[in-house]
Amino acid sequence: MIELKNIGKVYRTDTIETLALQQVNLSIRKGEFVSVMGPSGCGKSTLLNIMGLLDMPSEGQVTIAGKRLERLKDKELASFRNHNIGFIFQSYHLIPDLPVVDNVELPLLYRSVSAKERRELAKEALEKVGLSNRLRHYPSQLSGGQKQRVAIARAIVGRPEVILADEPTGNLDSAMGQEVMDILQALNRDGSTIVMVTHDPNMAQQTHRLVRMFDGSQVS
Amino acid sequence: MLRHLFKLIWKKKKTHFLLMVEIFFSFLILFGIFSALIYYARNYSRDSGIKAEDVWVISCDFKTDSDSLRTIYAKQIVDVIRPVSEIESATVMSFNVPYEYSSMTNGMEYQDRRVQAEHILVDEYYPAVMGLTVNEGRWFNSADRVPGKYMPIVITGSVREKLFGTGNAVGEIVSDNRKVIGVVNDYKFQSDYLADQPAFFQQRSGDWQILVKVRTNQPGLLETRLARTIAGAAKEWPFEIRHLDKMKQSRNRTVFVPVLIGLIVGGFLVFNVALGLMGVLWQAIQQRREEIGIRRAIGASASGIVMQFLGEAWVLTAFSILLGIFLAVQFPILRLFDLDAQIYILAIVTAVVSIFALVTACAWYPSRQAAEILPATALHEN
Ligand SMILES: Nc1ncnc2c1ncn2[C@@H]1O[C@H](COP(=O)(O)OP(=O)(O)OP(=O)(O)O)[C@@H](O)[C@H]1O
Ligand SMILES: [Mg+2]
Repeated sequence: MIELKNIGKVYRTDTIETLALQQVNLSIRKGEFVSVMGPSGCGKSTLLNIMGLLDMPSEGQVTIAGKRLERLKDKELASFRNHNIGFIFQSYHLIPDLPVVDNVELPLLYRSVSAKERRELAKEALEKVGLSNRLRHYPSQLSGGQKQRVAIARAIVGRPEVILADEPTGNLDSAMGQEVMDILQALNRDGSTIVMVTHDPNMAQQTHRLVRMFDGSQVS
Repeated sequence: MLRHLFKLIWKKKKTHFLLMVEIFFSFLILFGIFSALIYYARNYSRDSGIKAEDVWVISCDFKTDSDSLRTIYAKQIVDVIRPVSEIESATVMSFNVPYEYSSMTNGMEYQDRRVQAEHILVDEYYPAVMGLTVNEGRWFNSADRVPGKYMPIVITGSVREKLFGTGNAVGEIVSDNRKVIGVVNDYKFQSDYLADQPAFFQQRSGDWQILVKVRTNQPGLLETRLARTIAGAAKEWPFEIRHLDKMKQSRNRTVFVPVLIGLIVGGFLVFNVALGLMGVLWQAIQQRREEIGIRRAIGASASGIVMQFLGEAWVLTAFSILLGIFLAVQFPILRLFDLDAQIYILAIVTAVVSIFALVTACAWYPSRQAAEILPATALHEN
């Protein structure tokens, strides 16, 4: 499903050069639930961004669903992201000016889906994460756990094959964290391929496979 | 997508309010400028109806208040200049010479119609000097000087239209015992930029401006010669020779310069608004970097981001000028300033198009910048 070959990533600013990833080789099968662990700053988010086509690797090849991605144009990349990848971010990243249901509809706005259908799919996704009673709330009126669940609803509303989650439970207490984990596992059972970054060994244990990273390299 | 943009804008209506007020006023300013420009341009493009070239105006101060004396004196002057071979024709008229700052209007009634028109006193030679065309009936001849039951008058086309419409004009009697004997073409006697004014002519000597049509290759020489001739006949009457085309130019200038100043001031205001708009948009986009990152991550392409921000700017503009259009439409409806409705409609359309073009130009660069924000970077910042 996802194939990373010799991935390297260097961040260059005017003054410093950071080697965020080097020689990462990773292959993720369809339907797999993989967790990624490692100390802070070791490049986990960078890896996820590259898998999710949000960032270009400095070297190496990314292949997702048989497609070589460095060849795609911006429009094709955007459409590919929209149809195939759902992101869940550590800091939720909801749009504060839009109510919950509009936030969830967002990915469908970039497809040709009618307004009515958009609304229905968004409600359905919110139901899956247990938030049907908060459609008209604004993100600022929600708790951390609720925001994270809105973010999950947004990630799954377009029914992508791949879900990339960057510390989806990082900001939540253990009960709330487990709830989110349960949702992800249900999605995985329904066929989604999931890659999840986590700091919590308990969460990692519940996945099929654990990838460990250290200082930009994959150690297991 | 449109509803989505509405929601985003509605949520931020307070921050947008000032911007909307600015766009609203810019629209009104542009509407005003374009109305004036279109009005002047339309008038300018029309034939002036008279020929000012090679027409000179000789003004004498006869130092008397007596009309009959002035008539005699003016005739003395005309008599000495008419034989000059370069003088094609000469006429004596009232003080409301074309492009002069003097005017005398009079009302005229026919049945239940009324028109206010410039009242011009002339003699038989006026059309020949000014290049006026008689379209119906005839111009005055010397027989018209004999007092009769009615006073013969000649009217311009617009008076004819207002009083008689498509009906018969020549031979009709209008108020104050005037009888129409002819109709001449309309002409712009104030300025090329102003509309034709309705006018009517009455044959009466007793006025004291002498207009001559000259034909010469050496106007300077002719003018000195003419001045000497007049001085011989004018004794101690001071006089002045002016050129009608110069008078026209100067009158045109006095009409156009205020418009030009308005244009510059208005342009400057609108330019300021444009700069402000660009700043506000730029700032708004900087504040929304995270949102841009999210949208890119979720599937918006770079051009999609540009379209979104342009779209927001357009929706905002549409809202802002809605009230402006409502106000502007009142001008033709209430017939303010008595301009043609067409002018206002054209001005509204041009103002709307220019405001949208302006907003697009201002939003383009910030939107492009927004699209160039890398999603990974924007999301990393938070
Ligand atoms: N946009 C960027 N510009 C410059 N350097 C960056 C950028 N993003 C990440 N880095 C650097 O790359 C390295 C890896 O960062 P990354 O965010 O991938 O770490 P991480 O493993 O996700 O850490 P954490 O667990 O704290 O989230 C860090 O040293 C970081 O400073
Ligand atoms: Mg991270």
